Amino acid sequence: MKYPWKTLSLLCLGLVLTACQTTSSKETYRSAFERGATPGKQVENLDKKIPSYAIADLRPGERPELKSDEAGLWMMMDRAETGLATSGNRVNDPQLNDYVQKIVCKIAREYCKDFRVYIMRVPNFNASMAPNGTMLLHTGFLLRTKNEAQLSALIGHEIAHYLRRHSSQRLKDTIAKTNALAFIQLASMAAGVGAVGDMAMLATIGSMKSFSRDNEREADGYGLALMVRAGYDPIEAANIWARVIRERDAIPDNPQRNAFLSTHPPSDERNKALNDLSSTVENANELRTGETTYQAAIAALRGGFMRDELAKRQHSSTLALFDMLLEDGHLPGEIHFYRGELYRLRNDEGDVDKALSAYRKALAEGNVPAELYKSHGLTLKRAGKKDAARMAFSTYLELAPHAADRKMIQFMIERKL
Amino acid sequence: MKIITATAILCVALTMGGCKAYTLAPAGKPIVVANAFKATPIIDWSRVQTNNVEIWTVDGPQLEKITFLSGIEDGSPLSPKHWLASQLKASTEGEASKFHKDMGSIEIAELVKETFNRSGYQKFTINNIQPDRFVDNDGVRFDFTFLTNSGLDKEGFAIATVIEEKLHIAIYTGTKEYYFKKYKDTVEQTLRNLSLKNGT
Amino acid sequence: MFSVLRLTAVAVVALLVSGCMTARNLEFEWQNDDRRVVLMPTDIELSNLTAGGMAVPNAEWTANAEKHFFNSLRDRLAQTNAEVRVSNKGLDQPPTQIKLIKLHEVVGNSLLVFGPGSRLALPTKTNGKWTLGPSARFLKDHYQSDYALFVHIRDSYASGERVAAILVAGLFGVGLQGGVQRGFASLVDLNTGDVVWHNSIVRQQGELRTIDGARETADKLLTGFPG
Repeated sequence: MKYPWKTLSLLCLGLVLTACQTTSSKETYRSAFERGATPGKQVENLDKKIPSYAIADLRPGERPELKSDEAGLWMMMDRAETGLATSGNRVNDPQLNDYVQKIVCKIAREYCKDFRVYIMRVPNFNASMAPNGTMLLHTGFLLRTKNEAQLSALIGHEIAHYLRRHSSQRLKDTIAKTNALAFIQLASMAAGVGAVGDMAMLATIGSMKSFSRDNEREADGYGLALMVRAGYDPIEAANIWARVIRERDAIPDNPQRNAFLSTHPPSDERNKALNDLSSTVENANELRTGETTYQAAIAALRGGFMRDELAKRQHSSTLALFDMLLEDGHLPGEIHFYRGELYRLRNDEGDVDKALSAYRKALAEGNVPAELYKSHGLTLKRAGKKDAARMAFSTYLELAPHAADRKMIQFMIERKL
Repeated sequence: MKIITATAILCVALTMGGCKAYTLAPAGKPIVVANAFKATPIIDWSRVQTNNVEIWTVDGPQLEKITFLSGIEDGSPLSPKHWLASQLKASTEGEASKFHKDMGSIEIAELVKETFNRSGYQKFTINNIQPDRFVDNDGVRFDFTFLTNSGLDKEGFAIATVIEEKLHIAIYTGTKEYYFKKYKDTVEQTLRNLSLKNGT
Repeated sequence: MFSVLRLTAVAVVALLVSGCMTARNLEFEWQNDDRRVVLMPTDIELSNLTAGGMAVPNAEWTANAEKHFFNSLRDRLAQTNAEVRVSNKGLDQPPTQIKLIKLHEVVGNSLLVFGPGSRLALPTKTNGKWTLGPSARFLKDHYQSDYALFVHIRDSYASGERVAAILVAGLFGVGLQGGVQRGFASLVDLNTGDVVWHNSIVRQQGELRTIDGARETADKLLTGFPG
């Protein structure tokens, strides 16, 4: 973390002076680009390139006026938040929650107190931000990110949605467009031409989604500024999308997503745009990626995330993900084990051999869960190697004497099943 | 909000069977269950049946229920239409896990776990898997706990066996608070005395 | 943005649900003079139904409605000589309370969908006895109360444009949904956990935004509440 502080303050001064000369986007309050908030020219360059609507950021601790639609959204989320906090799929692990909250504060700075993060056990590459500062982070995202910089890019993106008040903007847009739609539909019904109504519906949905894509572009750019401000290497924001693309391309016959109906810009476009934006950040390579800290923070829970990933039963993209994780090189034994689990549970032609080979690799790497021996035993049994299976089961019971399936395994050993 | 969602799920689930009404299975009277088993209820139950699936409840299926599934064939998923698709889109993306005729006890428990996860339930944890008898055959029994999406604690157990390459299974679930325990003993006894309609 | 999606879902669902529910009123009389009633968090949310059919939640209306409705409930309960206590709300609730509220949601829901009078009535549930079980005692000790009143209300109002759309649609024989008020209330005996009294409303009128309207709704919801 090396900020050239001296030059920085000079540059900040420069930023303030030039502020008057720039156009529309500078006239509204945008916290990431306020004086003193930025570490320097790095963010100044970004500001010029980020698309933006002329709407002011919320101030720290600010709540919208009670009469507004925006306040309605807040109210609804305030209520929903109790439900989220006690929801069945929330990850309660205090260490992971502390870690993520700390990064949120690093990114959000003076807005730190405005956000609550809820980590949800969902095996999806996703996160979302509610208008009242409730942030949902899916464990599928934590499994896919390689380092702290990538996590920061996501958090920056979501915080940008909040600061730029995208929910509220979109609500206004949706109300306006659905109102118009109801009347077009009724009018065309009156004229006896139902098809016109259908077309209007499609056009309305399309127009709402394109509004959403613009929001996403703004949040990507703004989020990048926030992560740079917190000292993270912006190239990692683009790298996330390269990983997403790799997983997507692994799915055979993946129907091209309909760009018109998509709420987010295509991954390729986001990858390229973020790449271009990061190239304008000076000395970006001096900034941090934080890979070791990140991997240490998720290590204890990662196996569970992989288990949930398997439940999706999207085998080709999951295999591509496991390949990427193996390349990253953190706890490879565990990854080989879950790869074996994928084959064992899929149980297609030839999967028994593939599973056995994956378990062998896991054993060679070491650092594997006791559960491996049980899975290995079940697969050996399926392969007709009963003696080897019994040995694996015995090892399992030695390593996990209090396992929930101890009685069943014991029974299988004794009966030579 | 949660009540609305819960009600909606129920209504949808029920209207899928044409809002099929429950009928009485009175105590002491032998009946055929899920087209396959013979049972004599010890207490009065409300029952609803479609093909090889039958549900028994006293207070309402969200509070406690027994689900009987009979004759699941090789390559078929466990989840019948009655178990609503997940509220979590992620877990419904891929193909459902299916029963394979070569599955052992532990794999059957895994299949049940996956099916619950897929149905939108959370933190499904198996507490005990042990050999047991079901419809006069060797089988498996396991206890488990899970949460509904809104975080309500539930408890359950399942008992299953494979006969002539077909899976037969009964699953009892209820709210951890009060309802599961209320009928647990009578359910255990009823399931122990279950037999196959056509003999073994 | 999932909140808007959820709102639309709520609107659609409200339509579905009204088909399955019936009003229900259990017979109940106070057993003795122990009438300390703790009022559980009133789960109210008011939205504005736009011409496009979207329910937009309104914070100002909700804040007013909560105040008016709470006062009306308290006044109404005071007429029965009950001593009213107020429970903690939101994230300040003790975990056991949250568990009981979650259980009550399911019990209340089962009561509506599978209770006597419903098309889906269970033959094993003709006695009208529903319970939260013995852990309801927690509330008795925590709030020094004998009973707990659980209230759940959802209310939407047709905006001016929506009313116009309904009228126009009516001309062509298309039924559009106007504002809807749905709610239910249960009184739970904290010694046993039994639901001793319950009532629900589903109707196309009702007004919680004003003092008079809130009073009317509270009265309606507490119809048959033991005096």
